[in-house]
Amino acid sequence: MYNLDAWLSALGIVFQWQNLLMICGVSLIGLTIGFLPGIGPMTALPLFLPITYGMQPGPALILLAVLYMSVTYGGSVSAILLNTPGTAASAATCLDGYPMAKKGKGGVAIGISMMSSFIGGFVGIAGLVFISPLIADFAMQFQPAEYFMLAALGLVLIAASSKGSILKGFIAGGLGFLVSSVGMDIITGFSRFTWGSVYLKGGIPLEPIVIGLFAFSEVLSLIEQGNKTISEKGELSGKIIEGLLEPFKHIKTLIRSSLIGLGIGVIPGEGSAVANFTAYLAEARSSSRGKDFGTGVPEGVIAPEAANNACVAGALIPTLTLGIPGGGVAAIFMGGVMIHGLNPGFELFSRHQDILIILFVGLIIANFLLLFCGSILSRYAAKVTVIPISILAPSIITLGVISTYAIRSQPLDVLAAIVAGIFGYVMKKYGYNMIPFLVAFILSPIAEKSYHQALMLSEGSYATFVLRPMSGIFFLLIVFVLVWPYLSKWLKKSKSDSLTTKSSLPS
Amino acid sequence: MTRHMFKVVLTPVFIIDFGLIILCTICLTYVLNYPELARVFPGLVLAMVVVAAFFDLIKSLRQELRADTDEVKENQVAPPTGAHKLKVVYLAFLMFVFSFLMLFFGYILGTLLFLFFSGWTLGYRNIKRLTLSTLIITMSVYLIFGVIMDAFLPKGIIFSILGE
Repeated sequence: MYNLDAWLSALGIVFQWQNLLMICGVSLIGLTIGFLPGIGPMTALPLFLPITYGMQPGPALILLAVLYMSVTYGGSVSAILLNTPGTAASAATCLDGYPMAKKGKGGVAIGISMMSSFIGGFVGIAGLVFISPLIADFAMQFQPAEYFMLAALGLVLIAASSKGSILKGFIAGGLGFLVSSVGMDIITGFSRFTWGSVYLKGGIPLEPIVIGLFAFSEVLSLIEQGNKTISEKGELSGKIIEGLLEPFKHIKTLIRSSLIGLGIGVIPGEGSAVANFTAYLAEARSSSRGKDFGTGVPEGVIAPEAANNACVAGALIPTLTLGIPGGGVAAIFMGGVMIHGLNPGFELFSRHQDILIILFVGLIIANFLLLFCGSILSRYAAKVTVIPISILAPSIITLGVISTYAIRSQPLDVLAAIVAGIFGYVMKKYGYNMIPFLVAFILSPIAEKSYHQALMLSEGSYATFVLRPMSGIFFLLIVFVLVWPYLSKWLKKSKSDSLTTKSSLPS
Repeated sequence: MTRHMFKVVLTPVFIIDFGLIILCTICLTYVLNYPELARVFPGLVLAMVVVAAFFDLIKSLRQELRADTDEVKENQVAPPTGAHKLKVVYLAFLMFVFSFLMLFFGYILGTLLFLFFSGWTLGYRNIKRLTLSTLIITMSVYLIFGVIMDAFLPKGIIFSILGE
């Protein structure tokens, strides 16, 4: 499956002092960002994407993946201390973490969260290492028709699972496709939607779109809330070390929740937030102490934390093997992969396995570092959350503007990012999720190219998208995902109707 | 009744959906002039957006009418105040100003001016801390991009004009 020499050489590369320093630095930055409620990986990753430009692909992917992991790690601390999750992925952690903090066991809860995240992270990485090559081998059999249907399925899944209505998800996805089609057409070389602009002829680059949609729009939302600081200062009491040992008393919970997280991560569109709640609810149902959940029980922290960190690596599985991002952050990560000239899928696993192994080793080391740094840094988390927004917002804008400018030294990229930021803010405010927009923007060139190639191969027959076995399955899945919400509603209604009829019948 | 309809029609979602329908229809007529291979994909997507926006518009209208007649708006989150909305507009304006400042005065001077001015006008009044944070952020970003990444940062049009 993997070459042993490649693992050894990856170890050599990751253990170079520059890379170790980078992993340490990014872990610390990520944890700090994670502590700040409202600023999650969707804001952090775009800002760091341009920094990876001058780096080798391996370390660049490590940087992005470690940042993703560390922000998710850090998010639980503010959930426990302040009852305000740092990221959506830690929302369920509040339910038992905060009651523990109120009982004077905040340190214990943080320790539990750190160790559960560590073990969940390992399960996720193991899944990534062992499941990915199998899926990649399977993807080798795909032809353009399958790639097109897979891209369509990815988009439909993400639009269907996004917050708000499916219709709004589709509108956002459609707009993403359209913005991506600005510039020279890949097949004919014809200029589309350029309106005579030389800048638009080259197409709108990914980076300004990502920075604008997710970093700038978030800053505008932050300002709109009108708070002076991100959060009130919380108090840390209780010993973290006690908490670090606690998860080992609940091995079943740990394994079950990690597997739930991994499984949810693999499904495109289902993110860490879904994993977090699903694992919590599954644990609450299966535990003998189910009725105590919500009052501050350790399992209530173990389950969501193990799941959301397993989900982080799980979301990278479809991203790296099929080129279908597992979620919004994975879409940005995929952008990072493509920026370095790598094509996700079988090619990545066959021709660039060395880079992937560097990523895996980097993730394993980062997981250890995050446990260590997270346990120490959490003491100071409460102080970070009192940074005034009037200082934080301009700082994020500065970093975003410079990140965008530094890529191509093109002032119009900065303007594109600002326009994308305002657009993203307005759309999000009125219920249009921007993740389908981003996924469509990334998948559009692949989908369009595959669509034309498939039609050429089938001599213009559209039946190729339905009649080939795999693309046919993808087609059925698309239909199922689209019909299911209405079908389940109808089933529920008919069930309740039959119950009402039964109860109204004279006995 | 007319006033009520007017209120319903002026909701942001209605305006967005209606605007999208108009915009996409115009684009669709424009796209039809493209060569066949270049128009298929954007044409299909534009048509899809028009249909989705139309159904969303109908859905939002129905929801709005129901919410208005039933007076079931108690679960809605309190909207941001006018001052906070103004702050959003102001910050968006500041982003544009910063991009021009940076090009005109160069990275360092432009960023120092932007960070200090925006921090102050957004309500932070501790001059010592504001100056310190302005300096730290400007230098850190310079260190990352200008020194470590060796990226090209704007030197300032004004200085090149003065130099000449």
